[in-house]
Amino acid sequence: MTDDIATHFHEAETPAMSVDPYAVLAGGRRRRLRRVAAAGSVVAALAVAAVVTVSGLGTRNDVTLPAKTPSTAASPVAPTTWTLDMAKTALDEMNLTNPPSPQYFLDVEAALDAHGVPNQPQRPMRWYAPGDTTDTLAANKPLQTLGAGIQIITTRRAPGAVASEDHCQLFGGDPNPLLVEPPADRCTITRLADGVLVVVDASSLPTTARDPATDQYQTAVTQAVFDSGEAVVSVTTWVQDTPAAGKVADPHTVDAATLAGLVQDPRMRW
Amino acid sequence: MTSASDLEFVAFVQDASPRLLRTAWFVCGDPVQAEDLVQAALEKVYLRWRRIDRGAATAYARKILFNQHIDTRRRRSREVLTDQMPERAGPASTFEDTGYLVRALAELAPRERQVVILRYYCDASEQEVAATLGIGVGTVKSSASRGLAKLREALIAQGEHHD
Repeated sequence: MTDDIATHFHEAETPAMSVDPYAVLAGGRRRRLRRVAAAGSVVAALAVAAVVTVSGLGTRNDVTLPAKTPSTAASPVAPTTWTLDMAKTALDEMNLTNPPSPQYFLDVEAALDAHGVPNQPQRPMRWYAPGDTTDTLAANKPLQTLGAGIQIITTRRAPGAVASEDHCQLFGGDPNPLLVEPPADRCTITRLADGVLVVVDASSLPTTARDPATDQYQTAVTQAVFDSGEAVVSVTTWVQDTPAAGKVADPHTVDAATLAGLVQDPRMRW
Repeated sequence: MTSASDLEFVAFVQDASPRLLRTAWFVCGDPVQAEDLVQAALEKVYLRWRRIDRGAATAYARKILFNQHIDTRRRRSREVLTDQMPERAGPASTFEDTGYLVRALAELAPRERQVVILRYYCDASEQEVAATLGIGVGTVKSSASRGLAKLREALIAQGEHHD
């Protein structure tokens, strides 16, 4: 009885129609970016990268670290895992006494404008490390020289910024961040009350030809954000193969649960 | 650079899009709008591509497409009418001789049309249609019955008109 209708459907001629698969792919990526961008708060869409590789920098930088465990530099044993208390103590010692105020960012913007620093791509990035919380773009020096500390990258959405701009600001301007995919067992997504926390072990990523320390975790973070497809509270990456990592005698790792607690700290939620 | 997952997605689009386009054309009757519907639906599939069951990807795309069509109709129903004619010719003239089925389908209510297309073009079961459209099986049956009757009438009327 209905065969004739089915025949009509299958034999009907159709006008020429097509979709470009790569245009669909690009559109899908843009949708993901918009989702990520929409997760941004008033001040910032945050990407928090915590490098929790700690060594004996206390005496060199007048910073008191959590109690040290015996050095494991001589043997590649598994690093000890930080507890939330230990991570928070380190945060305390970093002298991040207050979250930067909106005015702080405005002042930085003004200073950068005065020096003609272009707006892309590193400008919104601010790196904090032990003993140096007031400088901005150069503040990663202690991290590079000492190979230790908690590294925080903050970004914020410029007024009227579009998704692609947010993307550049969040991830260092890499126009095509999908370079490598972190192995599934090295990327965890933990649900928080207001979104998800993405944790990537960037040390599992292959070395790239350019700046491995930067590229690897940015790529991992980008991928993780894309993969999550949800409101992202923070993206946290721990990296143990930075150029400075060789100087780290006693690295500690942080598990996702600890980081989930850590990013609830107001100082990490600007 | 494109990841393996993305390449897989591209292959899926190449494979699934012809049939999705045809489905969309039956649903909306406009090839341009059909392309837009399929493009948007597949973009949304991409958002879940890493978690989606590959065997169910086409059905998922179809479900999005039908929802997208309803959304589009709702938006357009709020558009302001105008007496200014568009500069571009309507699409019907480009396939006047082959669009008889689409014209007949246009006589159906949107839900009836969707049910008929899913049942008799996509070969979906009543349960699958119900799941795709988010309605009950009873509604599928009644919509299919009414839609089929209307479609037959419309096709007969068109045949008489052409004769």
